Amino acid sequence: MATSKGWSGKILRVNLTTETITTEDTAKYTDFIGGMGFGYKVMWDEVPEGTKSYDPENKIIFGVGPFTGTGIPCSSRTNITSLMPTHNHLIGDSHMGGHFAAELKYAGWDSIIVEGKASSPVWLRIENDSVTIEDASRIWGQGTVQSTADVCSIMGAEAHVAAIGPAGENMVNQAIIITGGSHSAGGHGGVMGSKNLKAIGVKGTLPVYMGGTKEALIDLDRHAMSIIGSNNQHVVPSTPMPWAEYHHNRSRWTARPGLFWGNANPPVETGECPPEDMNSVGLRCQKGVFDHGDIAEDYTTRMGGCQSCPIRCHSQLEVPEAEEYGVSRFAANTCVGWSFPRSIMLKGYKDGSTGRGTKEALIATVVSSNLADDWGLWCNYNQISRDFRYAYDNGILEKVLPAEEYNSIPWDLLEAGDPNFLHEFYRRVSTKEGEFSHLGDGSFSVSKRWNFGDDYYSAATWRLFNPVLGFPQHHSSETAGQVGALINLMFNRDAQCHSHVNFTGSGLPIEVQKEIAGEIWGSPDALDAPADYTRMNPYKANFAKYSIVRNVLHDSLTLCNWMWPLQVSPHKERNYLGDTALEAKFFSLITGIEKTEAELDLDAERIFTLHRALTVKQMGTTDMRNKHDVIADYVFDRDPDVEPFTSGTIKMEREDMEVAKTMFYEAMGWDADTGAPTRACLERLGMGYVADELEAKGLLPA
Amino acid sequence: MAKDQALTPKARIAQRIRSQSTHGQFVTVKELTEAPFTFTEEAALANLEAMAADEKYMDIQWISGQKAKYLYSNQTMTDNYARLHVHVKEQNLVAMVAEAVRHDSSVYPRVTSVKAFRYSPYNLEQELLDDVLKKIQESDEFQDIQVITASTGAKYLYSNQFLEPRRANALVELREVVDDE
Ligand code: SF4
Repeated sequence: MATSKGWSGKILRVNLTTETITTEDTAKYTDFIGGMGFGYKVMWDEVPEGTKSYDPENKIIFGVGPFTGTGIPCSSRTNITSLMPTHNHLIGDSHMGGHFAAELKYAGWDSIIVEGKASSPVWLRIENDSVTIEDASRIWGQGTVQSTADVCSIMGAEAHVAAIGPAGENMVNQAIIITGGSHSAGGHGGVMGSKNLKAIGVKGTLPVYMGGTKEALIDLDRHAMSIIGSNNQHVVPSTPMPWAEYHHNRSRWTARPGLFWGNANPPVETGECPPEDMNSVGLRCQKGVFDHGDIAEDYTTRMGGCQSCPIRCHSQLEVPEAEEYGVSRFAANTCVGWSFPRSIMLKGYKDGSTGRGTKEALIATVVSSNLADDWGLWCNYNQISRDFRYAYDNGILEKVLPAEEYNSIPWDLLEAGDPNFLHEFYRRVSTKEGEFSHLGDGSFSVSKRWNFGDDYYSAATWRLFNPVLGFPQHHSSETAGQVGALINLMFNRDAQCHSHVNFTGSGLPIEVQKEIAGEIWGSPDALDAPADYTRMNPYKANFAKYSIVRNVLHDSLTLCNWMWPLQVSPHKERNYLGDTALEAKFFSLITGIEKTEAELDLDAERIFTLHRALTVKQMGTTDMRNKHDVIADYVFDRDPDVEPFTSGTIKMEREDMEVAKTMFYEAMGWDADTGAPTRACLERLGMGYVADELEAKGLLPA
Repeated sequence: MAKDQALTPKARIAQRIRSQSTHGQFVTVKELTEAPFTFTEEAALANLEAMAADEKYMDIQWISGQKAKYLYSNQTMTDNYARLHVHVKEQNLVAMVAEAVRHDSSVYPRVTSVKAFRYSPYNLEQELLDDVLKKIQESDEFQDIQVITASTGAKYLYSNQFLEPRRANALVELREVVDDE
């Protein structure tokens, strides 16, 4: 058999009901690249519509791709595909970084398909070709930290583990799967729990072969490293620097003279970090101060991150005071992994402060983050804290909780900003203790169950972008207007697409961004300046399509979409242009299959269209426009005295958004009326069989 | 013989300017008359004049402050930074803040966080910063510089020559509230 290049060539299938473990050839799936693409293909082929997330018939696919384990910058991402219990049991993905993905590849696997349900708690042990289903009765009930330690005590410290906590075991809809202490995939923990699968441990010693030469890989890698910026591909520093023409104080390139990893021994100064200095790339992003404010500098030991990532966006903190609340003094996380735990303290912190920035806020955040990750609770992109706030501030909890339960909750601790409250919060939700625990059901369910007011679905404060599926905005219309709005419409959960926000947040002036937008999407009009929006145009549809297609591509290859695509660079001599063909160049080199940028994008378009087809099949309607692609009123009704498309508002217009949907559907080749894939589109993408099945079910647009 | 002594006088001057620029520092003519240099002021100026006509030294630039003229290399220090650094060097704080705000409002365009002036290269203590802001607000010359307080309490500045108040306000709220995750 010819050696597979890029892909390991094998997919692992584990049936927990029958306890059978089989191997399949990856070649069957490579039209779908890997990761997310493989997941959708398996779900299309094997999981019938009507299946619910926790049914044994549901499957969960842990996918990596041809780039995983190759050392290409930021390529150790695991894509997890299954039905989403929080979002009407539709297809969805969760993602985690860390080292698990690369290790799975080194063990010789491109994906793990888990099906059925074990009769008692188990964990999966993978050491190269040796795969066994192990008894997890000793681990079941433990937090994710102890579970990971238990698996490593058996497999060895070099093993990498993906585990669920009690929230997942108890099939709390909002549960995570976590690896490496801080890399969590939100939304599918309960699916693992429903299968009685506590953890997967993996250890590998096999090579990843590639089509090209080592020298060619090093050259391309150098080129990529010369273009790479800081986290989110921000390409200007956050403070003025001699080398930089531009700066932006929300840039994640936070390094500057006088800013340290203050808790390192000795402290490490981040310094100037000019773009040509490859040895200081890992110092560019001091994410602790970005996420927590200046207070975090003294508590930052180092920056951590995923295998093969030169950027390192997870701040690793040591806050001794956290121990006073019965948790570890050590914590690591990034972005919403910090802001969600912090915001559970609805009433602020012990010193009376609210928001980030004080020592008490930092202590509470570290306590909360430890508990959230150990119990294994997911935040639905921080919607859980908004749900909690809505219910608490509106007196709903007092009404819906039985009096005995309500009185047993130490609200005085919450009011006083005492982090001891957090133990109550996480335990109750993660163990499904009482009515209060329904906060973990998901926003749509809990808002209906507790009869939230109309304002919850329509006011900007609550950020519920899609009121039908119950997910929040995630770089939506506040980011490039219609482009962000379209991106937030297309998935079945909060969009985890960063292609567009990485671009708009790069820190470059609008004129520079517009010039680059013109090169990539056909016209500078693809991009509007913040709070100065214009009506929809076809270039914005190109921008939205490109952003999604690349996001899907990254989750399939796998690459981190918090860095890629490298659309911009820190270099004035390149007019700040990045290299959008890099993914295709790496693909050709690694797999030995020559593909242009356009050809690889077409593969990703296939994957995303299959996602849409799955959604049509699962919802049983072609009317995506009205039944799925629904936007909350606040997007259109904010700033009541101001007209849309006037300077100084991010308000959108309903009619224009319908035009935007039409242009996007057309750009994808979908039906312009309904937004469902057409036969012509499916056949163009080599998925005539999908068209046949949809047609047989009456789900193909006329 | 030390390696840099083998260089021509012009090359030595350029080397010094480029290296200082990398670290955000200007060079003055006076410095070229001090160790390790041995130029007289006239000789230094003559060399600089010759360099201005020499393609190899096109990156060497003059910038004028209120107190002196400075040299930098725009190969290793951007022109934007040099304009800002003149004010830092001469501690011309009111003009420094006002120009930074106008630059932000006109070029990006964006609102300027007051807090940004606490960090390098400005490094202003809060008390001094408050005093600078007061002077800006009192000065006829800087009437375009406006202060906005976000709903979070954070303070921002903008120039109404380049940004309308409603847009500035929207940008502040976007930054402070909407994009906060
Ligand atoms: S940028 Fe962050 S999430 Fe992305 S690969 Fe690097 S460490 Fe992982």
